[in-house]
Amino acid sequence: MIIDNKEEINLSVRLGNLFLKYPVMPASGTFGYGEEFFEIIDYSLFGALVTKGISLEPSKGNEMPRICETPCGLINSIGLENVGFERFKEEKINFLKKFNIPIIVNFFGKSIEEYSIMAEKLSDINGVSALEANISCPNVKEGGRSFGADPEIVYEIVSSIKNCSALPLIVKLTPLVTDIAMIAEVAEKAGADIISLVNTFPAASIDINKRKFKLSRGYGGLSGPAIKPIAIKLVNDVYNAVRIPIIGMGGISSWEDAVEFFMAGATAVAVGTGAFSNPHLISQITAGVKKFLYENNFSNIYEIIGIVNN
Amino acid sequence: MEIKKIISGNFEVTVNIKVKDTDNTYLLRIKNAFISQNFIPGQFVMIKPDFCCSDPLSARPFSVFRKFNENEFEVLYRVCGKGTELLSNVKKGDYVSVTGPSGNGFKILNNKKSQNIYILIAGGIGIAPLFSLPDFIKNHIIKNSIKENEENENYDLEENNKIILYYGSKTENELYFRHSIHSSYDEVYFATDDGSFGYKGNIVDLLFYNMKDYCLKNFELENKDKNNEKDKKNVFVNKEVIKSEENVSIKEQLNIQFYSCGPKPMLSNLINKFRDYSLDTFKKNSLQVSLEEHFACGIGVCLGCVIKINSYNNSDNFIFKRVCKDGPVFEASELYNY
Ligand SMILES: Cc1cc2nc3c(=O)[nH]c(=O)nc-3n(C[C@H](O)[C@H](O)[C@H](O)COP(=O)(O)OP(=O)(O)OC[C@H]3O[C@@H](n4cnc5c(N)ncnc54)[C@H](O)[C@@H]3O)c2cc1C
Ligand SMILES: Cc1cc2nc3c(=O)[nH]c(=O)nc-3n(C[C@H](O)[C@H](O)[C@H](O)COP(=O)(O)O)c2cc1C
Ligand code: FES
Repeated sequence: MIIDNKEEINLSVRLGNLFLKYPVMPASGTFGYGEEFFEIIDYSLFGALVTKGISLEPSKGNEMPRICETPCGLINSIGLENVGFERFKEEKINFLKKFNIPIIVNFFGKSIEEYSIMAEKLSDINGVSALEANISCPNVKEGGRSFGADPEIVYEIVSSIKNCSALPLIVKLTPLVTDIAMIAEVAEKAGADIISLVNTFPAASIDINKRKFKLSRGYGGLSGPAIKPIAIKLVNDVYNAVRIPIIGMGGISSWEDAVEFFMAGATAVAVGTGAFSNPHLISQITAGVKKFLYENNFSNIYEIIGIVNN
Repeated sequence: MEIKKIISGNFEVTVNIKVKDTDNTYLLRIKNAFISQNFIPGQFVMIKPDFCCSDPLSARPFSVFRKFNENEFEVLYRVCGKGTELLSNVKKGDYVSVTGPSGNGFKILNNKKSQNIYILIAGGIGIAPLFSLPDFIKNHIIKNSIKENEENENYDLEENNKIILYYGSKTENELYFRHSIHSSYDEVYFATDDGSFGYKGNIVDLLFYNMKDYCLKNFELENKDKNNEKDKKNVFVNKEVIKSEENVSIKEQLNIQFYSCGPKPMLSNLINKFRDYSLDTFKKNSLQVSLEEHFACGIGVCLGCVIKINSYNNSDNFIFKRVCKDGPVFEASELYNY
């Protein structure tokens, strides 16, 4: 097909029942509840708005220091600080609803039950378009191992969420597992509509003069360009294992990076750390991907999704 | 659309030179009219030398040091790591990515009915956010008195507003602009740890040594022996003196605002002394401090830069606030265990 107008390039994607006009969105936890970025940029080229991870009770988060830089990366241990369900519902959701852009609410629980309670409560809020279950957090009952590392627990969490919520469910995987494809398959079997990956990688950095970890908790999660090549590989592994769509992320800091994720098999991409130093990044990616497709004679984004395996 | 802030715009560097007599401090001048004309002292800009560079990853925060002219503003920075090292290599004519002005900046509280004293306390590079404050205070007073001048015609600006600087550092070379800085102030006091310039010792001690003259001179207390540390302290902590009605009325005629920025040990020393001497209960806004934390986003979304703020409606007695978005200027009395 010959396209003679860049505007005719179709970037819209369907993630299960979630329809996105553009396949680019912010990554959870790097966009707050949308208020701060709105003061400085325009959301019109955003495919979705994604909230900070919310839990049943508010959480204060960890002691300082919470962040440190490593070459091409950022380690954070914010500790999932969030306003909690009630305040989110009372104070935060209305603002997000103003934009007529799908709202994805990221959430987590301290136990399997809490995941389903949260899913049920969030589904009752008018305006939420999809849920993203962050299953990377530690399962305190099981000695702090991540929920997402155990296939049986993944199955249980996902199926119990699906039992009490009709909203499209995105399951956000823990990247540090032996076989991510297997975990993704389990999530798919349990009813996940969409998979998102990668979350941050457990990482640490040490101040050799103080002989101490740089972060208060010792370790944190690594994000930014340093993790991009690993994320690309993991997205491709999952792409080859499941039929449900993937939201890919991890170190995206240019439209070229985003195109790599699409080619690896992501149907949409999310941008976190990269938008810190360049708040215009999401809009630039949308525009850059469109231009790339046009210049390479593609008419829609689906033509490049997973192209490396064709 | 009205611009409130520049968002990762690329602007030309017109000057980037090492400050005379220093090993590692630079003055950076950037061409941008909006920031030059609109910043409030205490606000900061995020600067990234090379837009595409991933190492270091994040832009770095710097206070706006001063307006150079209508089209250019300046930043005073000390090289202490990768990001600032890279910045020091930027040449005249290069472009850097800038976001700002961000954060809240210092508040000026002046009281037309009383005498106002503004005391600035700077430690080393901490002079940067304070440097433009005298001009800002003067403009603020002039603007306010034009507004209200019918009311109070014989208010003498010069006489009723004094701006004083306390400036300390490790050594002489870190007292930037020590020979020219006087022109903006009514009084300037210097201190260095090694005694190479000004008072030998710490600037907070010097301030408190003189504090009686500012805070208590109108309290008509009998002359206490200045050298007697114990007595001096008693004067300040004597709540009865502070609370007695007569003194409260006198206090209202003297409006003292303190503004500070410096290394953390200096600020905690200052804040704790304020607390010890109950100075923080004098007036709610008596001491504003500009704080530093490591920033990642600098816009309030990552929650990486928080500090503890007093809060009386939860069990831990504090909540977290973001230095980049809720600050960087905070009232000392809000800070929890700083
Ligand atoms: C609101 C604000 C305004 C600032 N204004 C100025 C200014 O006007 N002039 C100026 O010279 N600097 C200023 N700073 C500090 C400046 O941002 C840091 O010096 C800079 O980020 C260091 O970057 P780097 O890559 O060179 O050092 P890094 O490699 O990141 O760090 C080098 C060393 O410095 C320490 N360090 C880095 N950042 C900070 C920080 N924010 N606080 C304490 N220690 C730190 C690190 O722990 C490390 O030991 C300001 C900071 C803030 C938050
Ligand atoms: C400061 C910060 C906070 C984050 N908070 C969350 C969160 O609350 N929930 C979540 O699922 N992921 C969270 N993440 C992970 C991001 O959503 C994303 O998966 C990860 O950072 C990789 O993308 P990036 O390299 O583009 O940042 C956070 C990341 C950062 C840097
Ligand atoms: S630096 Fe991100 S919230 Fe302050």
